[in-house]
Amino acid sequence: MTLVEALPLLMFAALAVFLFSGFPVAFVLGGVGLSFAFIAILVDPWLFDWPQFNAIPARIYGAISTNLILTAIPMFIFMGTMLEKSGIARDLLNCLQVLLRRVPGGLALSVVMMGTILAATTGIIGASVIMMSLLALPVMMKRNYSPSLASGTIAASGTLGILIPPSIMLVIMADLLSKSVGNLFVAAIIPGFMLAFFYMIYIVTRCYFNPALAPKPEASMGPKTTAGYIGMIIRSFVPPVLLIIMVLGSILGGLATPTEAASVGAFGAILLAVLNLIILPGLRVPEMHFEGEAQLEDDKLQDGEGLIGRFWRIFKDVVMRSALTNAMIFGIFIGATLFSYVFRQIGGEEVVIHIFDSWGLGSWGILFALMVLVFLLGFFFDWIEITLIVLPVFAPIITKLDFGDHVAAIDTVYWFAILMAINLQTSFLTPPFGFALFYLKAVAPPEIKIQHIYAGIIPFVMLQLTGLSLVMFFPELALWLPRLLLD
Amino acid sequence: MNKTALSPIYNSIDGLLAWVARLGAIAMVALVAITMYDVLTRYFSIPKFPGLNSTMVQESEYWAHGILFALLMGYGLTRQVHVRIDLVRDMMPKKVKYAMEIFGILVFLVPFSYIGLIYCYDYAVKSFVDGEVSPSTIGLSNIWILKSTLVAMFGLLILAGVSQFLKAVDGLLGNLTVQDEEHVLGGGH
Repeated sequence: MTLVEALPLLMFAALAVFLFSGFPVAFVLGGVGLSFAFIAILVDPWLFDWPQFNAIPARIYGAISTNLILTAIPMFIFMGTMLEKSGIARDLLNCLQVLLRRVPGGLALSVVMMGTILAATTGIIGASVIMMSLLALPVMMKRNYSPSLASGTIAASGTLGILIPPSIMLVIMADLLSKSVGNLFVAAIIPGFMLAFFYMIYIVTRCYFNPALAPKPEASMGPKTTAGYIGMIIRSFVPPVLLIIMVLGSILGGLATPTEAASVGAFGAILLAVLNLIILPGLRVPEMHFEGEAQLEDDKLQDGEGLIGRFWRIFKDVVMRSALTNAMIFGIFIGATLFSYVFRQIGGEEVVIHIFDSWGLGSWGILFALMVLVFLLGFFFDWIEITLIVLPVFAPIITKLDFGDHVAAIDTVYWFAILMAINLQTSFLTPPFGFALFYLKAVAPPEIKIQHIYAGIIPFVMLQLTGLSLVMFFPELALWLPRLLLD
Repeated sequence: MNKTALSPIYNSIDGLLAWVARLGAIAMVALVAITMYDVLTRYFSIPKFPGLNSTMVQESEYWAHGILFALLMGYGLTRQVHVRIDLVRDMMPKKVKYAMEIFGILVFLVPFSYIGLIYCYDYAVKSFVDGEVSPSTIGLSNIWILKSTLVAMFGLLILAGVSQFLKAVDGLLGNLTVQDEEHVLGGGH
């Protein structure tokens, strides 16, 4: 093998090494890409030469700056952050745990439901697992929940958001694979809810047979009167659920584009925050408080702060936070644009295709190989890095996969994306590396040991693998709904 | 931050980046407002402002986003929002971490941003000279402004790189407090 032939492989190896230097991923991608462009110029100007750098601004501009679909991302992030910081997510969890207090494992079920309903809030693994842990873990510990069950539930529910729409990851995947975001969202619905349903069945069954895992609260928890109940539901449950139904419904109904739906979500979240932070307290509607409620009080009134002042403080905080998260995602986007451009220019695509061809794997073999690769990458990287590095490189292979009668050719890519999403989520949860578990450990109270977390997550990993196999062998789970709704 | 010989320089750079970022964050509000306006006029037959067609509105949406990510990228570096993979680095002594940070800034961040800056500058200038307008002729004109956001982005990244470089030098010299170190090296994701 000559140096020219080996260059793409060296490039990947260098990326792998330098990613672990701990320097921000976005700039390692850009920096390694650039270094190999320089090396290629030195080695063989036919491979890469200075004028080719002119394509970089055009690519960033064409694929990112002028991409209307990607504008959905900051708005979904904004919506999620707003629901979290204005206390709406916390109120929803409290309301759910009151409603489910008589069901075995009720609090754990509330966590799963919250993860499902507020999937948009849970788009970025680190942020979402930390948020869910801070919110739900103290309550579960106070209630003497089994530390394993509690931590397993939180890690699994906190990562469900990458699959259940509106998922930011699916927006990016659809964009990279040149497919419709709306279709991919619809395709994710049945697999996503199926997994949430598996979690719930598991929790109820286990807690029914072993109530000591999840001690029930006093039956008197929550509002004392029926009117109080209805008030609680109208106040804490209906608004966020309605908002999510509006956002999802408009996409599912084929009415709105994901970008438009995202703006409805973001704007609706602002309205809910105004309701929660200004209107209700202004009308002196009492806040809900009860023994054993979840607390996370960014929205606590500070000294000398008025209602409007508080809303303004939270609003500004949410705008800046979501703008920064968005910058983080697009930083990686831009670094990966340069990396994959140089990789392709120096012949990386042919090398990858050649390697896969030389293994003689066939479509199923390639599918399994890619799934294993993605699973292993998930031990170290978040989906942002994985999708942005892997998909551009493997897209030509993915679009050529052929499963005969098993999956219709036009649906293959959607099916692949859903498999990859479930696979990634599983990877984030799998001990010993699964990094959702590290985030959880980082913010968990010290009495929760990493062994508890490992023990607690294993059943959920089994459920994930079941879900993954089901979607793999019954592609209709992902493909039936889009056909029904969108054709 | 601790007061050192270098700190006035990086503190003023950070101040500038924060100011630009606050300006850029307004684009987030604009993005939601414009897209919402688009939705209302499209689906609820609310009349549009005269002279404003929906191509223009949709193009404004990505203009807003272009401004949003470009103006926050550099500030994000000083705020440590860019994801790092710390698994291996966490095992290193502090001095090595600072040295690696300096290496990353000099070898990855600054060359990448510099090449980005000069090529995007040519790209934007060409657009300005050609008087480029939106490919759909009824869209927005002055495309050079949107292309210039990329120039700003790479310029701000270089500034942020300089600031982080000076902080890392201070760290290597042992001039930083434990609290400051987090601003230079980041930690976790």
